[in-house]
This record gives sequence, structure tokens and C-alpha cells, in this order.
Amino acid sequence: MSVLEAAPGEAAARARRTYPPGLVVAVVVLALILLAASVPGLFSGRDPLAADPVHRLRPPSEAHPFGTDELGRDLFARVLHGAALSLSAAAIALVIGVLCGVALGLIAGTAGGRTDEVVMRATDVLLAIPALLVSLAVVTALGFGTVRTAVAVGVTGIAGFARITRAEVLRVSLAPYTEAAQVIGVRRAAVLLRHVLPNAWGPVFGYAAVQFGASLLAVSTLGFLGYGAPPPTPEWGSLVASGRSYFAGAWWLSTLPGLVIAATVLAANRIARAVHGEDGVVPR
Amino acid sequence: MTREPQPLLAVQGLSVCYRTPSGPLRAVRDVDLQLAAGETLAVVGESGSGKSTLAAALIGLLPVGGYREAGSVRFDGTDLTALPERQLRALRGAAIGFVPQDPSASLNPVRRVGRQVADVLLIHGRADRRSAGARAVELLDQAGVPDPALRAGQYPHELSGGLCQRVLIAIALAARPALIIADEPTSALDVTVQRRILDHLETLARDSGTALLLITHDLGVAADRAHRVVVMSAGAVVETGPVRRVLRAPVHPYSRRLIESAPSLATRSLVSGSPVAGPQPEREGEGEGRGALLVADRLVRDYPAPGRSRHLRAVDGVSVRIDRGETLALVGESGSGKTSVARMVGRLLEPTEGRIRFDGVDITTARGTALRALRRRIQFVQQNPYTSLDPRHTVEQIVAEPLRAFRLGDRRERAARAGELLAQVALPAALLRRRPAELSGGQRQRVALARALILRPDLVICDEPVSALDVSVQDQILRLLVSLQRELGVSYLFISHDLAVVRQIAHRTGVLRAGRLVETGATEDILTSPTDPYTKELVDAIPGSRPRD
Amino acid sequence: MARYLPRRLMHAAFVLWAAFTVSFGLLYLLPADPVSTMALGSAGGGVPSAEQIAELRAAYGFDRPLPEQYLSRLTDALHGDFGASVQTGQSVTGLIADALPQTLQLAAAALGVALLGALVVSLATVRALPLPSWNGRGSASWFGRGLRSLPAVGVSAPGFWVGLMLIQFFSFRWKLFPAVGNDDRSGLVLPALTLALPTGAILTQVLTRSMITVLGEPYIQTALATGAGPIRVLVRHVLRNAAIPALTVGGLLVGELVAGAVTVETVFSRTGVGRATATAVSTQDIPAVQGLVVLGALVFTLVSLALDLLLPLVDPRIARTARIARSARTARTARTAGASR
Repeated sequence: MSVLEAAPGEAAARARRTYPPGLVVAVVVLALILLAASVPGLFSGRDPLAADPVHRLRPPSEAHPFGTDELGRDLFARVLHGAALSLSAAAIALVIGVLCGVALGLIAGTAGGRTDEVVMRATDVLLAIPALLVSLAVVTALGFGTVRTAVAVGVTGIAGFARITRAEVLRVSLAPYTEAAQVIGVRRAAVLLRHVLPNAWGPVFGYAAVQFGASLLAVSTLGFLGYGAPPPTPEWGSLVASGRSYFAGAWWLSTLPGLVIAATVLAANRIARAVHGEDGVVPR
Repeated sequence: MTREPQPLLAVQGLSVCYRTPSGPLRAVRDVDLQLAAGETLAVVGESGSGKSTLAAALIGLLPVGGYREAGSVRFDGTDLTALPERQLRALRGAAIGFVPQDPSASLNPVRRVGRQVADVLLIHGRADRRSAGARAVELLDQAGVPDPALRAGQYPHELSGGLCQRVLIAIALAARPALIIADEPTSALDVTVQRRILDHLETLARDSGTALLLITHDLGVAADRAHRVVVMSAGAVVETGPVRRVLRAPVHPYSRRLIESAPSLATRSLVSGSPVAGPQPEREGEGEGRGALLVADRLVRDYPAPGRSRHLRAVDGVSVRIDRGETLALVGESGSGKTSVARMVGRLLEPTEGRIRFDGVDITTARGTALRALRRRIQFVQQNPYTSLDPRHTVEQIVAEPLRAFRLGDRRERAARAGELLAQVALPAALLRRRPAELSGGQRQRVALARALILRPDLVICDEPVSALDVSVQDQILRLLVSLQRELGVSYLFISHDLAVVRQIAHRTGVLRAGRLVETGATEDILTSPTDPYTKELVDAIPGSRPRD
Repeated sequence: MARYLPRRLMHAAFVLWAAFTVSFGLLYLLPADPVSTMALGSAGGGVPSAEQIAELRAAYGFDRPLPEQYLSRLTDALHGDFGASVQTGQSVTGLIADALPQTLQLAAAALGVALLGALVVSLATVRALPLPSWNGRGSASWFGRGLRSLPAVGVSAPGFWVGLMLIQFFSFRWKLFPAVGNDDRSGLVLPALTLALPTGAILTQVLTRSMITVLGEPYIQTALATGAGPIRVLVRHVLRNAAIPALTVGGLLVGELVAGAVTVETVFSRTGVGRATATAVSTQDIPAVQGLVVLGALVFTLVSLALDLLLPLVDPRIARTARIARSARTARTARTAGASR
């Protein structure tokens, strides 16, 4: 008998059909950002590329909620238009990781033996090189740009997805109910489709949800370092970078876009945690 | 004019609740309990009876989310519920000891065993840093740990389950408490080990005059070891009294039912003397071979051993024969190889050596189509009903899956057959739409049984099918198995560690020890007059066979 | 255990070789023409002439067949020679050797802060959790729940942004610490804090989670039943057991540190391996990038190896479970081989 029971807070709230305030805020924030990415015009009519040197480096005000940059461009509009860029880059990275990684993990988990060994060794290597370094290498080879950074980040995610998918497939394959299916005469392919996959995909989905936030951070970092789309494209990371030169006086140039990144990632992680329990660490 | 001495422990009107998402759940309701010094009281109940909650409540260690709703717990005159935590801590371990349920998991895996015993002494000031170590070794010795000085320096994973439990007993007794609460102290152990531990505990308690509160689900254990017994059901006490009286003349209907279902106390077998061979009339006294369904000849199973190139021989030359319509039981403790034998017979595992003939055909190396065809005739019911059913499928899908695997019938026919099978295992048709999570352990096991029987196999291998179930549910499942055998003429290979259960259901029994078959024969013969010394030990260890005076 | 070590070393060597090969593949095979890429990078905006490209090609041996290139680079690498930086002409190993001490200093400081912070926060979070009693509280206090959510913020905030925020407040506004450079001890504070944040946050999450898991184990009840108080339980029983899973993510955290160094050194304009990497990537200096990637893998491998060797000391079950896991795996393979389809 254990002395601790699971924290009843969230489960209790869900059962009572009310939601914890943190989760509500996270959903609202993410919804707003997704809306901004799809229809930026909804929030601000200003042109993100329109320079207005007269009003350069103005602090946040009613006319310019996020202030203006060194060319007089409205920062709020730039952030809004950058949302689509950054979010789609993160999405591309995630999709690459999921497609390649899950496929690899499935193969390794179901084939076993030699194939499994090979895949495990390969993921070992990919996981041994710090993710940022891998993406930097890809960027060095492929060149700069939003899509290329997305690919670079996506590549680093493959190993993690392969590992967790394989672990889940193995866990379910060894479960008594899967063995029971074999015993009653179900063919191997049918066991895979009807028992293994439906029970394995849950945790993988949870992992993917958390990885979205991580991808966004990675893409923004590459953008900050200058490997994303060249100016004047308002990708979030590069917005923070370009604000550095004026940072002492014009604090809003780097602070606010960065705040938006942090808020998006935080909201995404909060939702991921609510949907699927604790965030996962790549299994060994 | 004599006055009743004050009881050591007096519980009055205790109610304990748990906070749950759907409101407070009362786990213990209005319990009254008394325990005199030096007495042994057994609290008997099935799962959900509240007995474990009661044990935790007595020392104020309710799991998070649990709280005392009402009532008092007086220990030696003091009301524990009114004490501040600090004083309560001083009592725990020193005045009241606790022996927990799962021995291997109840010891800190990264601390040496001797240190864990010494900790208790240090906490309550019974020894200082220098003498604690030596005293701990003495305590281990008293608790029956062989080679105590060596063992004290070992880690829990280096000790067997039985040894771990002795260490826990040493911990509980270290500060010489007046009362020991033992929460199912032997449920996780083999039956022979169980007996030795309980013997020892009994002796220790008697010698030091310690009162013992024994929580158990096994009425037989209560019968053997306790002076008085308290029967609990759904959180309330239904009956209490001297153990002899309660067993012989139970008052409450629940106690009566519990006593009747307890396998260790039951004296009748559920099966008649000879096996059923389907609708044909029985033939008594036929020689070997005529009715033989499955014959396994000198099965051997080796597993690669860690480190060296030698092998671990789990099964060593075991031969069994199962006749049509009969139940053969294989009994053994952990490590006896009984599961390996079952898996080999069911062709889930390949024997290293030996042959298996099923209905005259050699199936030892059957593969592919032949093996699949075999699956229709040999089926399996696994031990743990909580993990043997796919949590995402409905009961109908689970039960009909064999039909689907062999492409028998269309969807409607399969659904209809599933319904028929559910009725045969005495489950309501409404359950077809449900998922396993909504079913109880007994219901799940019935579903597993229905799934195994839907193809009308000749042989069903049951691997400890009732070990994870409550006693009353156990009884129902066993009766179900017997009636299905009578109806369908199916044979069973019944694996169990519990001789008492086996007595009720098996025509013939084989006793396994360390991979070898030490004795085999008619069940009644083996139980009443065992020839092998190990078998004798097993039979003696069945709780409930020697009621306490 | 003695049998365990050579296996691990071989595995580490394999990983390093594979890292070299993978980076070779990425850097030399991926671009259409690595030479033009490098030439473009080093020209820094201008267009390299045909002669410059041809020169580069010959100098770097790109006119040789690919397998020969790979083998010669591999043998060179085994001798510690990763070629020369296209941009500066300095040997890559020399470049790394120059920059490494600064980064090591930064990483050590950051690691110290991260470990300390993680320990303090996780202990405080767990201490705020309710323990068994007569009238258990349903869940943790406000404080406890707040602490529990704190690491999530640390994980979500971009490192470069945090660094800039720290500069804004502690350098510009309050003038406590310098914003740039490696000059003195005080210049280490803000960068170390920035680097420590994501690492510390992940470590806190892992530690807290494993402590909570440990608190749910049966042996905690045994300890409480002997009259141990919460502090004793935490220190004697929880800490060491909870540290075990935390050690296994150590390698991952080092990866975070290494990657973080790139960002932090850029934000704070410090010289170091991270900044060198950023520059190398900007100029598409392929040999330099390859050397730095292999360095990253080397660091990860060394740390993982060290933690692997440390683990049996913390967890006495390890030596046995390693053997048991292996035999269980073989038994399982044997079983699936013999099992039906």
C-alpha cells in the first residue's frame, strides 16, 4: 500500500466539469496566437513592412501597442505576421520528426532482432550529438532560410520519436493481452493493427504535443542566431536579434517578441500536459 | 468482584473517508474493535472491506486524501486521534509496530538491511550509534534470519521474499512494542514460507507478550493463529468473536458465505471421482491411453543463465497426461517450473527436449498452419484478469475475437455467439458493450473464460486463474469451471500454487518442485496420504488445518 | 562490472566514430558543392572567383574521390587533426583549444547553479506536499503548487530572451553586472544564470517527479510506521532513491548545456566554443563545424560514460539488474522465437 495518491486536483476539476485556471488561460492564449497566424489583419491593420522613419524607436503606446523599430515599422504588426512563419516552421519540424521517427520506431519495435539493433544504434548516435549542433550542421550544409531551419530542427526530433514509439510498441507487444491474442489464433498483422497500434499511439501523441513547444523554441533560436529568413521577414527569433543593437534604449524591440515566444511555448506545453499527463523525457 | 482489565487497543465508532472526485467515499464505517494485551486478533475481509484502511488509520497513516470522519482509537488509555503528530511519531515503532504487506517492496532498496533495523533503535533512543549495529544483528537473529551478521550488510534485493519479511518483522519488533499490526504479512509469499513466518511471528508474540492484530483475507490463517476474529465487509464489522465459535457457528450471512467459499476450510471437492467425457456415459477403470487427450513426455526447458555459459534448467523431465474431460492440476511454489510447463503444453514456448502428443499427433514442433489449427483446440486463460484483456476493446470484441481470427461467421453471427458464451459464463448480456475497465476482477476472468471457450476447444490451460481474485469470487469461478466441464466435456490443465484450491477442482494432481515432478496421482490421495516429503510439507502448510486452542 | 566497462567504452568509441561520419555526411554530402558553399561563406558577401574556388578545392582535397576523402579525414581526425578553418586558416583543433577554457568555466558555473537550484526547488516542492496523517489535506498548498509550476516557465522561455532580459535589468537598469565580455569574475554571473535556467528547469522537473514517485513506494510507509519524521524520510529515503532516475538524464542535460553555450556566448559576446560555432555556421566553415560537432558528441559521450559508471555506486541493484536485464532479454527473444505466430 502506498502512502500517496495521485494529485486529485486536475482530475477532480475535470470531473466537476470546471477546468483549472492555468489551462483556460493557456487555451485562450494559444487560440489567439493561432488566430493571429491565420488572420493577422484581424488584430492590426498596419503593414509590417511599411517603414516610417519619422516615428522610429517609439515605445509602446496606443497607436503602436508594441512600439516601433529602427525603421519606424510597427512591431505589433510584425509580430502578428511573424506568427504564421514561426508556427508553420515549428509545425514542419514536428511533422518531419513524427513521420520519420514514428515509422522508424514502428519498424524497430515490430521487427526486433537485427533491425531493432541497427535502429537503436542509429538513435544512440543522433541523441549523442546535442540537438542544436545537429541543426547547425544541417543549416551549414543547406544554407539559411525559414524552411531550411525547420528541416534542420525536424531532423533532430527523429531520434526521440523513434525511441518513444519503439518503447511503446514493445511495451504493448509484451503485454498479456497481446499474447492472449496470439494464443487465440489472431494473425501477426492483425495483432499489430488491432491491439498494438491502438494502445501504443497515446503516449506518442502526448510526446508530440510537448515536442511542438520544443520545436518552436529551436526554430526561434536558429532565427535569433541569424540562420532564418533574412530581413525584413518578421520571423520571431530574428525580431529579437535585430532589436539587440538598440536594446539599451529601446527595450521593447527584443523583449516583446521574446515574450510572445515564451507565452506560446508555455501555453502549448500546458495544454500538452493537460491532455496527456506529465511531459516526457526521451526514454533510454 | 473482578474488573475487566482495560483493553490495550480500543477502537470506537471509527469511520474513515477518502476524498474522491465524485465526493467522499467511506472506506471504514463505525468500527468497534478491542484487543487485549498479549492477544492475537484477526481482521478478515475481502478486497474493498476496508481492513487495510483500518490498519493504516490505527497509526494515523492514512494515505493522502483520507481522513478520519468520526470515532476514537484508544491505545493504553490514550486517545491517539487527539495526539499531536510529534507524540504520535514517538508511539509509532516504539509502542505500536507495523509489518507491511509486500516484503520486497517495503524495504529501502539503497540501504543495507541492518541499517534499516538500526534506524528504529536510533529514532527511539534504544541504542546509540555504536551499539545500534550489533543490536540490529541480534534482532535479525531473533526474527529468524539465518547468518544474521552477513545478512545485515546486504541490500534488500539480495534477500528472498521470506527473508525480507523477517527483516520487516525485526524492524517492527525492534523497540519492543506492546502491539504489532501486521497487514497481510504473508500474502505475497509461497505457502511453505508463509507457514514458517507465521509460526515465528506467533512464537515471538507469545514470548514477549506482544498483542498482534493480524489483517488477512485468508480465513484459514485466522483460524490457525488468532484467538478472536473480526469479519469485515464493505467497511463495517459484520461479526466478531472467538475464532472457534465464529468458524463453527457464524451468525452473519456474509461470514457464513465467506467460510463456505474459503478453499482451505472446505472439505468437499466440487468434482465427482472420475472425469467427464462429454455426452458419452462414463467409463470407470479404463486403462491409460484410451481417454488420453494430451501426453507430454519428459519435457525439458533450459533458459540461458546470466553470466556463465551454463543454462538454468527450469523444467527437468516432466511427463504429464491429461485425459478427456478431466482436470489435471500442476501445483508448485514459485520457481517450480509450472508456468513453463503450461506454456510448453500450450505451444507458447518450445521445449528444449521432450515430445508432446495431442490427440495422437506429435505437436512438439508444429508451426504455421498446423499451429494455428491447434489453437482452435488448445486455449489459455491467464492469471491476471486485469492485464489479459485489451483495454480498448469491448467485451463483445474480446469474446468474439477468436471467431474473427478464424473467419467464422459474419458480424451478426459472431455477436450472437458472443452473447451465448456470456450467458454460459453467467454474465449479463448488457456487458457486451462495456470495456474491461468497467468490470470487476471476477467478471473479467469470466470474459477471459468465454473467449477461451468460444471455439469449443478440447483443452483449456488455466494458469493460476483465480489467484488474483477474492475468495468468494474464486469460489464462483471454480464452480463455473466445473459446470462448464460437465456441459462441454472440456479438459483443464490447472496451474496453481494453492493446494486448497486444487483439491476442489482437480481429478488428478502433480506436484512440481524445482522443475521436477515429485508426486502425481488422484487429488484426494495426494492430499490425504502424500508420499513425498515435499508434498507433505505443502499439505501441512495449508492454513486452516490446525485451529488454535 | 568489470565485464561491463569494455562494452561501454566500445559503445562510446562507436558513437564518436558515427558522429564523425554523420557530420561528414551532413556537411560534405548534403550541399551540392561543399567547396562553393565554403568559398561563399569565407568571401563574406562578395562572389568568389573561379581561381579561389579551384584553390580551395585542391587545398581541401575535394578533387579526390569521396571514399578516399572520408578515410583520409578520418585518419587525420584520429590524430587530432580536423583540418583548418576556411575563414581564419587556423587549425580547427587549435581553434577549439583556444576557445574551450572559457566555455568550460561558464559551463561549470552554470551546472553548479542548476544543480543547486534544482535541488532546492524540488525539495521545497516535495516538502510542501501533504504526508499521510489523520486528516490529510487533499492536495498541496498554494505555495507548493506554485513551485510545481515554476520549472515549466524555465523550460518554455527561450534562452536568448532570458539572457537579454537579465542584461536589461541587471546591466542597463541596475548596473550590477557587465553585459558583455569575458573580462572578470562578475562577467560570469549573468551568462551562467542564463545557461543554468533551462538545464536547471529540466533537472527540477525530473527530480520532483522522481521524488513524488518514490514517496508513493511502500518502503516510505514502512519508514513512517517506525516513527520517522518527514525530514528524516526525505533525506534518508527519498533523496538517494530519487537521484537514480535523475542521473540517467544527465547526458541529455549536458547536451542542453552545450547547445545553450552557443546562444549565451552570442548574447553576451563572450569568446568560447559556442561563439566559435555560431561564427563557423555563419561563414559556412565546414571543417570547423564538423570539428565542433564531434566535440559536442565527445562531451556527451564522456559525461554519459561517467554517469554510467557512477550509477552502480548510487544504486546497489544495478550490477545485478544489468545481468538480469540481459538474460531476460535473451530469454524473451528465445520465447518469441519459439512462440506461435
